[in-house]
Amino acid sequence: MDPTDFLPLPQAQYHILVALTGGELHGYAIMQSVETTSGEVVRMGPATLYGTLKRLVDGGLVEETAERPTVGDDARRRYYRLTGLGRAACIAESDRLATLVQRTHANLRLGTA
Amino acid sequence: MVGHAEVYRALVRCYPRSFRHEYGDDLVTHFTEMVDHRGPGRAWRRTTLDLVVTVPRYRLEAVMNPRRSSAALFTLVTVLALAGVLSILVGLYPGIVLLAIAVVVAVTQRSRLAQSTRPPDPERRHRLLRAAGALGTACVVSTAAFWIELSVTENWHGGKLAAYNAVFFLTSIGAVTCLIAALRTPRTRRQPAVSRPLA
Repeated sequence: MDPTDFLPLPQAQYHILVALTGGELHGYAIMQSVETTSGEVVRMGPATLYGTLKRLVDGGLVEETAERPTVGDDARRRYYRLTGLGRAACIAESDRLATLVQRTHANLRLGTA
Repeated sequence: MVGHAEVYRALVRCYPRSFRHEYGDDLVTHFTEMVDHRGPGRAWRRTTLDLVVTVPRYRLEAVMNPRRSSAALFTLVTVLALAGVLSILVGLYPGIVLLAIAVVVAVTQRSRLAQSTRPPDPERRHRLLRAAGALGTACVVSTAAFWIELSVTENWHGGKLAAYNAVFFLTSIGAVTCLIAALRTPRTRRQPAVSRPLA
């Protein structure tokens, strides 16, 4: 499947993908990472987080993993990681946003000149 | 004293069954960690907003999901329609009692009903949903006509009017739900039978 088929990614999905670019994480760690990277602007409740994760898993962008990054971690926790398709979709969305930002800056500079 | 996690676990039951089965324990674990790390006040503020936004959304998505058993919807609307008709035939208040019993049975036994009458193919599912939508719509129209006639010819009490409004409202929800579900269910055309080559 072409990663650009998923664009534009909804904000919550994109933030979760960005959080998972650092490696596999469990649900609560994903929420913390999203808050940190968004400067506390994006705040997800539990159901929003797991509902979005379900969409990403169903879409093949994220998968559950049995690997545990830390020994002795809570066995009930489920860890998630990016798939190849998820990584490609995240890169494609980042490129799209970067182009948008560049265009915005260019237009604003023109406007102020 | 009931703890925060127990209260939240009870609220998680508001979500659709499939979501609950898959993520119910994760939701409670997540909430417990929020309470531990951020305190009950902040955890509840965020979670309450989350519940208000996501419960109706996930419920609606579950209803609109084409994979959801149409047999359960069909049964529910049929039962509602029959109870609505009965309420007209046997009198309003016995009819309302029947309606209430029918709704409780249909809702609590929906998964069993769905298992026993699960339609085997998408084409039949589509037909069932259309039939349920038509039946519900007919019931809504007939109830509305009856309601208008009686409201013109009789001086109704407030309770009686409210009861008929409830019947009308419930059958309308069933009818609209089935019609939308039928429209969203992908219709598959039967493949023509492949003729065997002559030996």
